[in-house]
Amino acid sequence: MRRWKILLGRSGTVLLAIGLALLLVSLIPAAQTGTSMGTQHLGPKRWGSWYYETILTPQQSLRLNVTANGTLNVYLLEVRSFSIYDWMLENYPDRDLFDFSNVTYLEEYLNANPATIGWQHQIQNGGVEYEYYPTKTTNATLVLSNPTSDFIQLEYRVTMTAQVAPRGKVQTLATWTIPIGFLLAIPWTVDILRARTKKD
Amino acid sequence: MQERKGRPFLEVFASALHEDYRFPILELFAFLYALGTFVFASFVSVSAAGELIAYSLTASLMIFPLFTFIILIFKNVAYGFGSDIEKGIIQTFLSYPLKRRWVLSAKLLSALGVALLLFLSIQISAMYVLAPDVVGPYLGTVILTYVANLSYPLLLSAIILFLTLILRRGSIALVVGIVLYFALGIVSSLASFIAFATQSPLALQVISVFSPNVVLGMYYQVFGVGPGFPSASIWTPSFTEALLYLGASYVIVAAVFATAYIYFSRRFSL
Repeated sequence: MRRWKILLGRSGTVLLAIGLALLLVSLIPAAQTGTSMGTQHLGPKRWGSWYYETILTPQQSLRLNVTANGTLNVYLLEVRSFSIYDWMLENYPDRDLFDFSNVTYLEEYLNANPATIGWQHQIQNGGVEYEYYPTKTTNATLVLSNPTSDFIQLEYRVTMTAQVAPRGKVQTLATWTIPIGFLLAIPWTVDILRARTKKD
Repeated sequence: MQERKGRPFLEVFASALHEDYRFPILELFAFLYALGTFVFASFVSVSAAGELIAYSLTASLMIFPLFTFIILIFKNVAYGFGSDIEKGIIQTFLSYPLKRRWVLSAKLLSALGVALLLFLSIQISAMYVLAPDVVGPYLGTVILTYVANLSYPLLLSAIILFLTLILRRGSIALVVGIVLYFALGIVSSLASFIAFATQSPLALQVISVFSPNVVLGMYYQVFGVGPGFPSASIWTPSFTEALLYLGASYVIVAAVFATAYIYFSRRFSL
C-alpha cells in the first residue's frame, strides 16, 4: 500500500514538474515577425490570392483579420498560389489566367483538393479574426472570394508570429497536468509531513 | 518458485529506484526534458522531403534533453552503482535469493530503463503536441532517429558500468564517460575533415559504427538535399547501409553489456 502511495505521489510530482515546464514554455512571449495589410475591391464572382502567401512551421502562427461590406469567403489554403493556377491550367488548358479569377474555378479546385483547406469562414457584411496554428511545415495562402454579384470592399490584416510552441495547446496541457499532478502528490506529501512531525 | 524469484527482484529494483531518483531528482530531470524539448525544436524548409523534416525535428528536439539524459544515466550507473559497491550495499543485494545477473538487471532497469522511459515519453508526447502531422506519417523515421542517437549514450553507459565493476568505484568511470562523450564530438569533426580532405568515407564509416546518427544524418541529408550536397560526393549511404551500421553499433553495445554481466556474475568480488 505504501509503495503504491509513493509510486502515485512521485508520478504526481513528475506530472507537476512537466506541467510547470509547459506553463513556462507557454509564458515565453511570441515575436511578431511580419505584417501585411491593405484595402481592396473584389469584383462580382471573383477571387484573389495575392493578399498573403508564406511558409509556416508549427512554431509560427498567422493571425488573420478580414472585414468586408458584403458576403465574402475567406480561405487559408496550405498550398502556394502557383499550385492553384497550375491545377487550373492542367484541367482547363484552353482558358487563360483572367478566366481563372472566376469563383467557379476556385470552387472546383477546392472540391477537388479539400485537404488543402487549412481554415475557411464566410463573412456576411462584417469581420472575422482567427489565429491559425499549423500542425506541420506548410505553405499558407490567404484566398478571398466574392460569391455575390456585387462589388465588395474589403480590408485585411495578416500578422505572422513566431513562438516556441503552440501556446493554446501547451497552456491546455499545463492546466490539466498541474492539478492532476498536485492531486496525485497529496497523499504522499501528507505521509512525508506526518513522518517528519513524528520525528520532531 | 516464480513468485519467490520475482519478489527479491522487485525488492532490489525498488531499492535502486529509491536511491537513483531521490526527490526531487526525477522531477528536476522531467522539468528539464520538457523545457529543453520545446526550446530547442526547429524545422527545416517546406521544400525538404517529409522524412528529412521528421529527422531534423527529432534530432533538434533531442539536443538538450539527450545531454540531460546522459547526465542522469551517468549519475545512476557510475555514482549510484559505484557508491553501492564502495559502501558495501551491494553485498546485501547479493545475499538475496537471486542470481547475480538479476541483481544487475534490476539495478540497470532502474538506472537506464526508468530514465529512458521518462525521456522518450516526454519527447514523443512533445512531438505530438508540436507537429502531429510530422510525427504520424513518419513515425518510422522518428523511431529510427531515436534508436540511432541513443546508441552512443548506451555504449558509454555499458563502458561506465564495466569500469565501475572493475575499479569498484564510480568516480573514475564517470570521468572516463564524460571524456568519451566529449571526445566523440571532436573525433566526429576530425573524421568529417579527414573524409573531405582525403575524399574517402572511411573515417565517417568508422565513426558510424560507434555513433550511427552520423550515417543516418548523411543518409537523410543526401536524401533531402540531393546529390549537390557536398557530403554526397564522399559518401551516399543507402537505407540498408544505414540500418547495418545501426545494427553493428547495437551489437557493440550488447557485447559490452554482456561482458559487464559476465564479469559481475563470475568474477566480481568485494
